[in-house]
Amino acid sequence: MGFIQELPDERYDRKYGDLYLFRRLFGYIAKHDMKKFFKVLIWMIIQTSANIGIPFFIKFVIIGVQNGDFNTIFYIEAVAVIVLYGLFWFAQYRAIYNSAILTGEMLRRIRKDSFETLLRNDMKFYDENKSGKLVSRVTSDSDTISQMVQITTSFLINILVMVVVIIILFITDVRLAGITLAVVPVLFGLGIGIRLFSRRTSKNWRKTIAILNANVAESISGIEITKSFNQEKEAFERFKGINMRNYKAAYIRAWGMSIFFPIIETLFGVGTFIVLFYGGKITFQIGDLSVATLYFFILMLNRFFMPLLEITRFFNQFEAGLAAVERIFSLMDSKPSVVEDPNPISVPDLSGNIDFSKMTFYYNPSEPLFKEFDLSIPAGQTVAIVGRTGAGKSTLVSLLNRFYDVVEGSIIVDETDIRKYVIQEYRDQIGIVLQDNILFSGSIEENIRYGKLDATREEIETAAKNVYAWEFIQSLPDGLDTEVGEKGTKLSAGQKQLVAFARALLSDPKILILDEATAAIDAYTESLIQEALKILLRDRTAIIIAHRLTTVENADRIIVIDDAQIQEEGNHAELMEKKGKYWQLYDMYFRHQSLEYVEQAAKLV
Amino acid sequence: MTSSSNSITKTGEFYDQIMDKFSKKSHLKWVFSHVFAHKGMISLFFIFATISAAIGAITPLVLGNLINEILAPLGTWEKITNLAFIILILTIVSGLASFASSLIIEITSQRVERDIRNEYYASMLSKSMTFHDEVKAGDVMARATFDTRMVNFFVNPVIHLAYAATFGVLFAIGTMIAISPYWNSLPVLLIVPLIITIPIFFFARRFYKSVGPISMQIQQSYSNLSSYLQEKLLGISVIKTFAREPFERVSFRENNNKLSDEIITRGKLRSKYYPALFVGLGVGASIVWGSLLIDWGIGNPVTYVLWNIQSVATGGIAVSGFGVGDLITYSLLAGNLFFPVWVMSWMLVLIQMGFAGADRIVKILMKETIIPAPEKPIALEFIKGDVEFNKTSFSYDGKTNVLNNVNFSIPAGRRVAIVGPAGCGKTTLMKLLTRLYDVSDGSVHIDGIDVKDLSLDTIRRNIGVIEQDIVLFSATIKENISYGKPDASDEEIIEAAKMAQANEFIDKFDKGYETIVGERGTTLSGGQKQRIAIARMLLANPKILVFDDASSAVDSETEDKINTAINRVLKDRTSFIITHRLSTIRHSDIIVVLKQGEVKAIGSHDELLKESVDYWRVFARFSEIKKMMPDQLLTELYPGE
Repeated sequence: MGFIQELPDERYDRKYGDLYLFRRLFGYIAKHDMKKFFKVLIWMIIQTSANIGIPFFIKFVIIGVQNGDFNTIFYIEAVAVIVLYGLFWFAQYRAIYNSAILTGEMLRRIRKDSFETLLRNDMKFYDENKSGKLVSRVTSDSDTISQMVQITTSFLINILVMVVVIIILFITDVRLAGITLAVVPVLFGLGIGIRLFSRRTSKNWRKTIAILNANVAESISGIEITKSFNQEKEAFERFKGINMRNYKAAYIRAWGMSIFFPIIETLFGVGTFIVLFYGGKITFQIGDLSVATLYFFILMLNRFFMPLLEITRFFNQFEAGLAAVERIFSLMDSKPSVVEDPNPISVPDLSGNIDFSKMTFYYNPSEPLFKEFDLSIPAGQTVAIVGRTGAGKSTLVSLLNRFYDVVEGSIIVDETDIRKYVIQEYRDQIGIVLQDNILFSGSIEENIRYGKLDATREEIETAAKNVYAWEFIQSLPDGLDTEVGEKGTKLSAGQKQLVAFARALLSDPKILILDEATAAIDAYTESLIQEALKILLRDRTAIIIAHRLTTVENADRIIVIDDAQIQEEGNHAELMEKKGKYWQLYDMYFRHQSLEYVEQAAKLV
Repeated sequence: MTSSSNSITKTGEFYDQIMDKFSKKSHLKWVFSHVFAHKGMISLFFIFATISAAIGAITPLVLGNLINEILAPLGTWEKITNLAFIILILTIVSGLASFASSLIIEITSQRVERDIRNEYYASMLSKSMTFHDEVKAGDVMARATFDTRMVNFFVNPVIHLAYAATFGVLFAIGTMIAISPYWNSLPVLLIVPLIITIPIFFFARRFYKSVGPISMQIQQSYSNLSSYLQEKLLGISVIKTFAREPFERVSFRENNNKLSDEIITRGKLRSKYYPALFVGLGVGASIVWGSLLIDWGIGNPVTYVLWNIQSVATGGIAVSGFGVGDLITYSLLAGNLFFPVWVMSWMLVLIQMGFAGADRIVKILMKETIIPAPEKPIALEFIKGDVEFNKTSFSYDGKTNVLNNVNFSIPAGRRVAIVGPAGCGKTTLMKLLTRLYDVSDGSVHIDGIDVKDLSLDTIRRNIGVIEQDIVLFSATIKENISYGKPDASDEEIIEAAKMAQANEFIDKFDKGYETIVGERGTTLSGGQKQRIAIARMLLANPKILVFDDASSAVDSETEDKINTAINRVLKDRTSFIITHRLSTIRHSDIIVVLKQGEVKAIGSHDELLKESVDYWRVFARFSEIKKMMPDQLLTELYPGE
């Protein structure tokens, strides 16, 4: 196990310009959190002002000490240093406090808005977008966005600080300022260069980590195979190789990561050296520069380099941030094609008349699936739909449930176009059981209850008994309270179908659709369910798609679909008599389910 | 098969030395045994980190001296130049040392992470299936990724910063003592750092207590939210079908609000306990305090200038005592305390999370879910394939019996079908045969030997299993087929594929046998996967075969192919088939009818049709068979008719 060696690069197309995204992001903030944002901004400005102000007072103090002027004014100035430090801290505290609230609220809102969009979107959207990627948009991309605000704000403030400090430095002493700032381009260039190197190596490293994790995940899901085939040793060797590759990538990445701060520190030291050397020379030999000014200069330099460091970091974060902003906004901008009518009709208790009227549908215009398709099913009838794989049987189900909208024509249920109905109320009266049913993690009871949220335990039990799911449920140690695991993985395929069956029946749908609903259930249980269905389908319109001959045979009416058209219809006996399409299909799909076939299967070698 | 007999008794199914290399007495010992496995690296780190911390404290001292020199009436330009150059050299040395120490500790942390992963992976391989069924795959994954990361963070940045911070503080304080004037033999400069330290400790403790837990809560809420999303988005069709959007909207909001509230709470706590306040004030206070000292004229014994009222009275400036230069040194050293205090709040959380991660990893490593190996395992090269279940009972939880007194024996080479409703214990019965679980009562015998006495290797090598949910790895078809026999030749692989009737569809792929399948590759239909699994099993060539078959929705042609493959595969093997495929059941030599964990009937197709209502149910759909049914069974089944 653990074969995975490569993962494809994630491609990503930019749809929006940087400036647009930026404007939109701040528009988004302005709309909801303007006040909070300004609070953060103001406290940040106070914080940096206090920070810049500190050296001035320290300078006064040093001058005072140097001159021995220990008078009241001197002590006021000295205490002012403490006060400014206090103000600096307090402003910083308020800024962090407020930005914690701002980011938290933004996160909450972005996640909420993204999830709303997800719920609103139609199935076409989900066909095109993998759920894993959507999850990371709601979780990690929104995280990145909420940090964007902080990053950009502090970037702008840092720029401001740098400009102010440069002006102060030049006003203080033009000669020193000129010499010291000579290291700035070097510092900036190195900073950006190292960041770029780090970004590349980090990307590489992240890729190896992703491969490694994919490997572990696969290994764990396939552990039984590894054990059955006695391949533990081989699996371990393979894993060690992949783990080593990750380590090597991490090793290269470590260089870029570790060199940044030492180099910056050293350059800062060099700046200090220049100040001391030349400043010292001026002070000592020319004498028009005081020691206080010299120290003031060093302190100011510190307040210049720190923002510079932050700025080199900004570009990477900003780029990643913008990508996240784009992903979120393009998610929020996605428009579902299945939308509720602006003046929807509330859905009465349906009787279950279904009418596909001159319906045309395709996923892709070049491959039309249904063309002017007509089919009407009277209320209460059980209709089996048969046809080759890919004949569009399951699409019919999706259309009836309004997962997609027809391109032309209409689907009419109880004399009303389904597009006029309130979507939720309409779907509420339709029940579907599929071959691969999705259960949610939680107990069996909770899963069945999903069909009717306010169902009593008795109702749930009855539903389970009706579809003969009770026997297996009882055999589980925790009965109805048994956890089904993520996606229901702790249950077998057949058990999942039974639970899904119970869930659908509990919702008491007027129209029930069974799409290979008993495919994974054993023959024994299936025969019981077939009998039960005779009662359960009474008063319901049922559409059955099945590969089980018996299921099809029992239907009131069989519809044969091929080339997206109804080819034949009638009951089993009539159609077999005809020796047409159904008879051909029968040979292809059902022959092996006849006793005759069963009897001679041993001869196949 | 690769390990000594000694380790087999300890670990069961797989063993590698790495599993014993690190102490697992407690999670702390485990973490440190991982760290100290790299003694050389750690020592180098200590050396370099000490150098850079020392220089961090010496530089302000030199700077202060330099300023004193500028101000001193007797100062010389040469001396100033020398001092400036010393600062330059110190800076460069410190830069190099701090680069070396960062690099070394980062590499060490990566090595630790690599070792942990190897250890963890090996341990997962050694665990029995009981363990793997019990734990959630997501949980195993989380420990392998997130918790391992947390332990890595414990090495770098935690050890890195903790060491740098501790020594930074020690050197700063040491240097302060060195320049400190004494008053009544007290180093007066220490008063300010001492005063600020006490509240910092108080705050840090509160911070640790409040932020640590909430950080872990956030982690939990975050993973809850993302697994919630993951699941619901996969099941979006269910939400839409049942029109449960309003319900999900509420559940999402609950999850989201919990997380957002926690994030905000943590942010507020963080900002409140932001302890730099005291240090910032400390720098300010040190400047004021230093000025006061100079004002009072307190001298410095180290620089041999004692407190001398006269010199203050005459000169007014204590230039050569505790002067402007020392004041600057002092305030810079106070500033050095900034960084350690600043990182402390962050580090405390990381320490907590690192230990929690280590604890979780060690717990899972220590989980004893190993199938007890026999003391003297009987290893057989070949087995015949006789199987006997002798009054076998089994229960997963020790309360409800999933299997109850199952009693039957199968001679070698027979084809056995096991039928019964969902949840009757079919799959579990087979897991007892392969000894993925041990019986609660009774015994299971292969060739007359209790499976508990056979070596696991013998059992697994001789029993081939095709599972209900077929797992193929993300690898080529070839690699998947040869999984059980990695050294198989291409001819053998193709031969196996032909036998399994898989050759035809494989050849249709553009890349043929090199096609990547599995989760990240080409999607195969259930029938195709099944035939690849059959080929994989054929190549491993077991004597006993367990075939847990779930798929039944196939067309007649596929059914033909699968039947053909099965007929070929089952030849000369004892086989157990769990299936809904009537054609397969029909032609089994022996059919076992299970119901609620008990054997209801056993015999051939014809026998069972005559005597078992439960078996009859399976074929109830065929009206032809209904005619064959004895009246007595008919009335039992349809009492009303």
